[in-house]
Amino acid sequence: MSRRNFPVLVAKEFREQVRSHRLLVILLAFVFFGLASPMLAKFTPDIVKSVSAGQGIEISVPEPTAADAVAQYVKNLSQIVLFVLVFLTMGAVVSEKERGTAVFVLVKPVSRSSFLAAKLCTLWASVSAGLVLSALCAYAYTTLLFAPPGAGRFALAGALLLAHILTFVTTTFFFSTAARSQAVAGVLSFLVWILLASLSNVGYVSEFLPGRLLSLSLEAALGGRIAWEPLVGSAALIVLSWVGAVGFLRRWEP
Amino acid sequence: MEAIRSRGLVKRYERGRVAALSGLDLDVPQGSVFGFLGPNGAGKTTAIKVFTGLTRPSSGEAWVAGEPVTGASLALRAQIGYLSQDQRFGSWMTGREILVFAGRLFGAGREAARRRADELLEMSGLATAGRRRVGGYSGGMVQRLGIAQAVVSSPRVLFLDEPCASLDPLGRRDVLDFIARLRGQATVLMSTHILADVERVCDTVGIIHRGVMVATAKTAELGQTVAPPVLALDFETADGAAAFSSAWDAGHALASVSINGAHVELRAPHLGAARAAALALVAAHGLPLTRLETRSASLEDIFVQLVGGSS
Repeated sequence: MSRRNFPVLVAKEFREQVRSHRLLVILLAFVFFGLASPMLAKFTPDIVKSVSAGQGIEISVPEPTAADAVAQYVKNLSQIVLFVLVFLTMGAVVSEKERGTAVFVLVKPVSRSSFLAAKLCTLWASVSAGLVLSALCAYAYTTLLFAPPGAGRFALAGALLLAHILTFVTTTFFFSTAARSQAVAGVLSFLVWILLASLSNVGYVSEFLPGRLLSLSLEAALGGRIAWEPLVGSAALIVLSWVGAVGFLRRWEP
Repeated sequence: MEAIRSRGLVKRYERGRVAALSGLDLDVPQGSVFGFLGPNGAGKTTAIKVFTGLTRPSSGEAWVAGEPVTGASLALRAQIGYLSQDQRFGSWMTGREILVFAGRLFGAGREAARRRADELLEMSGLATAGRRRVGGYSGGMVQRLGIAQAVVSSPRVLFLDEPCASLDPLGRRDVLDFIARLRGQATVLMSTHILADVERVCDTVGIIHRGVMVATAKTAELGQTVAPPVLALDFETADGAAAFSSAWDAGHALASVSINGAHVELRAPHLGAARAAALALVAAHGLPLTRLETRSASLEDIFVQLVGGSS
């Protein structure tokens, strides 16, 4: 990796994210669900009651708590926001290969791993910034609408959620490097997502799946114990995705 | 010493079924402007991609500026400039940003890169468009920006793949003048199938056909080494030319004759003898000849002779 060029490449990637409004979309998606999740948890029972009353049915819904707000937050980020992120990431490399703009950089004294690292680091930084903003919003609204959750526990829950999201963003990034079109990269990413979810009942293997980070995140928010297995599994998936992406781009010939 | 050298360069695609290069041996002298000439699909772009490290050869060896060509060689890429056949840039960047970015990738500091970018924008006639996004540039402007980014680091070896494509006549003239000015400062390999461009700026020319070099020589000497001079005859009427052609075909199997209206061109291994024979034929048949001239073979003649009919 050419270290001298790395900051130049990162600056270019960051500017591209700003100009293409991708950074704005990422931040808005995170902030929206950071704000909306506690509200949804708070007002869902009222909405259910009003709807059922209109139909002459009485449904008893327990009073929501801060734990419900956190659960709603984790669910929204790990599904809707992750879905948005897959769409924004699936073209990260393959679109540059398709458009021919990758050649402009790769014929300069820039290693292919630097080219990829700059893209992935910028992506990770944007997603991390989005999650921090979103967690602050969610924390503030949970405190406002319910009781304040423990700040340390909430931060730990956010960190585990971030690990889960970054794992899937990195696998999508791998497919964006390996696939020949954005559509293929997107479809393969969703297939891996589904495949890993379907393995959640497969004995000891399920302990290592990134999906376990979500339940762990909830447990962490409630003061539960942190298991290391899903962190190891996620780290392994990230490393594999990175090594695979570098391998594919090194073999790529424009 | 050669700035670009290759020996037995082979590049196969589609699991070896298609050969783009079939043993390319090339020597480009340092400081020359080399015209890399060939019909479409001859292997020009593939060869350039191998020389720039973008593509790996299936076999064979190549060196550029003394560096062995391998895909991972940063030392090689630090010494070259490259204009792609279909140069593309991120449409969200301005022309100036692209040049500053390119300069910084070669290790220039921020201020030095900005100064160089402004200098190149001025030189390429893009000074007023430099702060506009490239997405709004015309094809010719993108091409000029492409050439500017290729020379941003003052490379030792410059690869230009069809540099005059999508340029209007004025833009083409400017680009060719610019390339001509690089002679002696950098080695330029310019691929093209426009013969006039090669004749205008290249001091050395190589003709590639079906992945192998079929001729390499100084542009001025190519005619002497590859194609003999041509004997041109103008008759008063097309019938006279046709009569001459029929009579010639019957008696001179070694020479070829081409006819265009009242104009006839003769190509023969021994032009002196052919001229005497032609004059004798004209006199014997009483053909109305208005002009007889011996001229050197043009690059087009040579090109057609080497690759024509079999491409």
